[in-house]
Formats: sequence, structure tokens, C-alpha cells
Amino acid sequence: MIISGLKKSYLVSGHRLYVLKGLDLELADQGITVVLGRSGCGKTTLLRLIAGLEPADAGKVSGFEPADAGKTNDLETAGSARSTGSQEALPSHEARGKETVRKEKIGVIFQEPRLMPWLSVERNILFGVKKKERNKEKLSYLLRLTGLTGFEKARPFQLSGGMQQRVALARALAYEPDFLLMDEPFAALDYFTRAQMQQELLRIYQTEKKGILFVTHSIEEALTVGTQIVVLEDGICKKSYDLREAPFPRDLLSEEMAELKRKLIWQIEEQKGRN
Amino acid sequence: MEEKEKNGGIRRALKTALGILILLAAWQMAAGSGIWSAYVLPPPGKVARALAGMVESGVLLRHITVSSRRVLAGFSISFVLAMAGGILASQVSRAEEYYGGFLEFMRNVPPISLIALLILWFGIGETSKIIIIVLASFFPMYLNIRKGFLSASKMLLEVGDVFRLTGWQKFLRIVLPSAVPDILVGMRIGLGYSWRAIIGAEMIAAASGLGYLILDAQQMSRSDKVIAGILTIGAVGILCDKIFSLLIGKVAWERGAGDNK
Repeated sequence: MIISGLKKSYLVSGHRLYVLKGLDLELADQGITVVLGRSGCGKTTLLRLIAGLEPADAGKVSGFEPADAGKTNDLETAGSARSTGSQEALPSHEARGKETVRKEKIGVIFQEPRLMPWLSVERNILFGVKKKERNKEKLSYLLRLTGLTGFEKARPFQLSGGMQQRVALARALAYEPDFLLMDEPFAALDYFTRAQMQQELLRIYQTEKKGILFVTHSIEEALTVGTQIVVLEDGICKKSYDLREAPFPRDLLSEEMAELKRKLIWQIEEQKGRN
Repeated sequence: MEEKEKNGGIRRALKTALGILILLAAWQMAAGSGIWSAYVLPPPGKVARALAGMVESGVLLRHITVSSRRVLAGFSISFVLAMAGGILASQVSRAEEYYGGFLEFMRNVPPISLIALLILWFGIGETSKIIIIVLASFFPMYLNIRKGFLSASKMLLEVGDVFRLTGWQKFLRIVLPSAVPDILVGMRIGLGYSWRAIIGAEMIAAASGLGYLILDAQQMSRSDKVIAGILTIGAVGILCDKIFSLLIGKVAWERGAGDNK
């Protein structure tokens, strides 16, 4: 997935606030790309634009078309996204009238679990799956994968925060996305649950082999799960680190990791100094 | 834990019964004191006998059936209209700007003030009676249902966007289920208002019904029957309300807000 020249601004009480200022980024189809940055650097905005939850001011995300490409983006965005899309649309998606046919399925995991409180765990997991495509094997596979077996009939409020987030993860995987976006998914969890969820994410990543974009403000988290770490600063990609050669599970206390951590802290601290 | 809850329930029922008993005793004493005539304040025994007489002859049951039918008809029409209005307000942007003003006006007009016009337009049959009930119960239901539809969580709607649901699918699978608690509360309040409107409705040339029973007894100076009628309306109203509060409690529990039964 290639992101180029992505721009986005918001109007905040009369002032235009530029959040993304022509961001270029290449995401591997397989791998966990971690976007690291301070609060307010535009991490979440980037993710929302890719997910198609908001239209971009300019620029393009190719590999698929964002949700509002046909309606709200400028011509360049919509046109180029259409021409670069290499995969054929599924027939079932064609009959949707004027709405743009998007070619890749994007799964999103938000900072909050965002489960439907009126549905059981299993119904929540299958929320994004078409009725005809729902089946027992898939459900029990996902329950096993996310360690939720036995809780399929439970209601969201009966689960702990970590378990709710696992349901959200299972829901996103049930949709069989081509790409997974995660917006600080473990930020609200306590240290131990968080560490456990990171290991589970890696385990799931190793079985499912999806492309994942993982947004976080935690350097440790980035070093634990990333195959690529991108530092976002001032609306553009400041620096990118390739960690494909570092095997999982990683020892953050090793010399290599400690060195990288020092670099990352320095990078982000420098940012603070300038602001 | 369960034992404790059960005991709490029994204790609460006992307290309610005690309150009613004290009220009855005060009533009995006041009636027996001879300050007021039996016409102004009939003693409880007399009311009970009137009630028993009407139960025995089947008259009371007939009145209850007739009134229930009217309440149910008016309430159902109100509910359908309130749902339609709520859906329109939430799904069609700016639709409410067109009819909101008129509704706001009608909300402030007492239904009984329209009786004369309703008789002129719709005659003295069932239609006019049901319209009175609709007018009384529509607004509380509409306001609650509307609120339910409009307050669907943006966060959950975004989940629908992520899974590429269409507007209609988002409505059916996110907005409508989110609105269920408010819809039930609206229905509960609306049903209460429907029962309260029964007297007004049956002021229009009724020949049966609980409202008629009270108005007829008034004409006949049978204050014991008036009180018997009032007691019946109150009891039927509480019964309807209980059914709804059980439903609401169940829904609230399923969503993890089960403490406020």
C-alpha cells in the first residue's frame, strides 16, 4: 500500500489546523508497520483517512480506494486511486449503485473496543460478516485464536477490558480484511494485559500474515511488535526504521534494541524541543 | 445474595401494603367520624361492595375490556406515528425543520380542548375517542423515541462504516438496537398517558368503558362507584406499567446497566 502526498486539515474555531502536510509512506503487505509519534502528531488522522472514515484534502492512498473517494475527495485522488487498483472488484460488491467500489477490505481496531452492547460475543465477532458467509468453523477458529472459547454467549459488559479488545480483534479478523489498522488498541489496558495482548497480536500475525498498520505513542510497544517503525512528526514521515531482520519475540534489553530505543527517544524529544 | 434480594422484595411489598393499610384506616376513620356525609365520602366498605357488585355482574370486566381496546388502539397508532416521526427525524437530515414547529404547537394544546372540533369532524363514534388518546400519548412517546434514534453512538456508527454497511443497514443494525431502551421508556410513558386520557375520550358520547362508568356514576350521584372506577383505572394502569418495567429491566440487564430496575 502506497500513501503519497496525503494532506488533511481541520478548521478549529476559525483557524485552519494542518495535521498532515503531504505525507508519503509505503506499507508492506505483510508486516507490522508501527507509526510512532507524540499525541496530536496526526497518527490517528492518518489511520482514519486510510480507513475511509474521513476524506483527505489531497493526496492518494493506492492499493485500494478510501471510502469517500468518489464523493468528497478531489478528482486527482479519486482518479488515481481507481487507476492504480490492480485487483478486480468482487461481483457482490458491484451492485452498490453510485457508491465507489472499494477493492481491498480494511479491518479497523479502535482504541476502544466499540462492541455492540446488545449483542453476545459471538454475534459481535460476526458483525461484519454477511449472513450467508457465517459458519461455525470460522467462529470457533477465531474464538480459539483470540482465547475467547467458552465466552461466546457472554455480553460485552461481562468481560474485562482486555477481553473486550480481543473480541474487537476477532471481529476485525472475521471480516477477513486484506489490511488491518490498529489505533492504539492496547492503550487503555494495564501493563500486564497490554504485554499479553502484544504477544497475542504477534502470535495472530504469525498465523494470519496480514499487513498491519499499528499506531502507538509507546516506544516499547513499537519495538515489541514492529517490523517497520515510522516516526511521524509535524505532519510528515520523519524517519523510518526497518526491523524485519529482528526476530520475535524481542528482548528489549538487548544492546541493539536499547540503541534503537535511545535513537527513537532522541528523535521524539528533539521534536518537543523545537515546538 | 439471592436470598437477600428475595427478602428485600418481600420487605418492600410489606411496606407498600402497610402504607395502603394506613391510608384505608384513615379513610375509614374519616368516613366514620360523621363530619362528611356518606355521599361526599363513602366509607371503604361501601366502595368495596360497589366494586364487588360490578365484578359479579360482569359489568366491570366489560368496561375494562372496552376501555382497554380504545387505549390499545390509540396507543398503537401513537406508537406507529412516533416511530415514523423518530425515524424521519434521525434519518432524513432537516426533515424535522418542516414539521417540528407544528408538533411543538400541538404539544402545547390540551387534547380535551379539541373535543368540540373532533365531534364536528369525526362524529361521536370511536374515531374521535381514539384521536383524543393519540393526541395525549403521542408526544411523550415521540420525544423519547426521537431521542433514542438521534443518540446512537458515533463510535458504533463508525464500526458500521468500517464494515461498509449501507445507510439502511446501519439503521437496522446499529441505530435501531441502540434506540431500544429509549423506545421502551417512551412506550411505558405513552401507555400511562393513554390511560389517563380515557376519561377525556369517553366524555364523547360513550356508552361503556371505565371513563363512562365514572361519568355516569357522577350523574347518578354514586360517589362509591366513582371511587371504584378510579381504583380500577389505577390498578389497570399499574399492571400495564409493571409489564413494561419488566421488559425495560431485561433490556437494561443485557446491556450491563441492570441495577436500575
